[in-house]
Amino acid sequence: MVAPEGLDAVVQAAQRGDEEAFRLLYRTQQPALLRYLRVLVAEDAEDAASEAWLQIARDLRNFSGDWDGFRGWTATIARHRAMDLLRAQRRRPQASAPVEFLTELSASDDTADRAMELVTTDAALALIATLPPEQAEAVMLRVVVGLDATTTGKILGRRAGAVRTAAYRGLKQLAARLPPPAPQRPPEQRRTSAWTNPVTTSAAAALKEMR
Amino acid sequence: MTSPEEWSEMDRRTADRLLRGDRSGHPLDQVLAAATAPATAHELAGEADAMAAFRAAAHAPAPRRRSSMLRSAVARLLTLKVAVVALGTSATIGGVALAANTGALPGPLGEDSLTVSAPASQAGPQTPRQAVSTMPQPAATPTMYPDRVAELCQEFTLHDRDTRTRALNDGRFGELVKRAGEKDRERVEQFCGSRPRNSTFGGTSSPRPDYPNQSSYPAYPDQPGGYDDKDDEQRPDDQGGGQWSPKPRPSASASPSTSPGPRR
Repeated sequence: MVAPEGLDAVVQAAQRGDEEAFRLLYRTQQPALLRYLRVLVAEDAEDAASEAWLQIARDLRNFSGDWDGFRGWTATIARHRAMDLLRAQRRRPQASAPVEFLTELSASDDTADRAMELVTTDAALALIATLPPEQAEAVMLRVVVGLDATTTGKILGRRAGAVRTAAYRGLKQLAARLPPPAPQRPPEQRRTSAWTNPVTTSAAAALKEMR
Repeated sequence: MTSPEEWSEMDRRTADRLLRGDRSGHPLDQVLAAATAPATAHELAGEADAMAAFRAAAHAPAPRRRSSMLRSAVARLLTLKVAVVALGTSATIGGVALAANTGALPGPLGEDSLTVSAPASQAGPQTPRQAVSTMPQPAATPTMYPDRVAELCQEFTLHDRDTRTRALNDGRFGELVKRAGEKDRERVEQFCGSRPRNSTFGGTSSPRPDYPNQSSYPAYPDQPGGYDDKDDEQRPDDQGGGQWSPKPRPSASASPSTSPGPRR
């Protein structure tokens, strides 16, 4: 990982047309964007990410800001592309079915166990995706994309305080779903509705404000 | 949610540490660390596409709003200037319109014009691209407008370099020769070349001089979408004259081959 100050310069170099700088930006930012998108649109995340990068590449010269700004800007773009996909899916008759592994994970009672056992990125994302949408987004943008509460709030169309609360609640929920350290297991909280419609409810409202 | 939180207490402070990515000692550390784990190769599979998009964007002309605004400002200014001059001369000379108009527009002309089209096609984006496919012959008799000399210069430079000497024998250029001081090609070229192009060569006599060079800006083909929507908004404005038709103007595509000038 390059130090953030270094990445400020990398952003500028990419804006001047430096290919290697842009490659570095891609490699640094794409995982975060893709994971965020996976929580948003599950199996369509890769499509949304590639749409997002097309736009990033095209509009980079008009972007003004540093590395922090770049992260926020690209997350905004990624989110817009995700919303486009969700809108398109809603128009289509065969409404979006959540990705299978998510279905499995959420349907089974040992989601949290697996998250702890494997602690793979996939499992972690699957676990976060079971949160209510606004909490899942707040956690992803803050922890994975690495944005502060204010920037996250701008992207989500909410106040920073609301973002902090959502992230806090999200973490509490996640913690609650982890298996207890002791042998006795906590009552599993079944969430059946929150994840089935990935982040569309809050997203639509936020989108209106953003545009 | 009471009982789960009892065994997995999380206070704000812990949450803040988790959000910052610090190790908090909380079991969630592992989950969040996994969520922020280094990229896998699969996650970076789109790199080639992204790079291709970046290259494509880099090769597209810069879609900067400022420069395009500047460009349209220049275009407007030119339009105005040419229109004013055109009004002054339109009565006299009809046929010279095309040529004069073409030469009238300033731009980064790299070399003295051998033909009309050469400078036009080599000029930068601010210069209208225009090809003159036929040599316009002056249809009117000379009248002693102040810009008459400029027009003669314009006409003179329309000739190929190797026909200019002969052209000077033409009585039409008598005035020009007199002004230049000598019936000598280089002398006249020098004389004409020293005259500021944009103001003196502007005499066009387009039948509709109001928007003399709008069609010279057929489009900004180098403007992609996105931030440049403004250009689209400006163009209808430019074409506010509406009915200005490109009738006296040959195709806007400039290529030297289509505009040989008065070759014999």
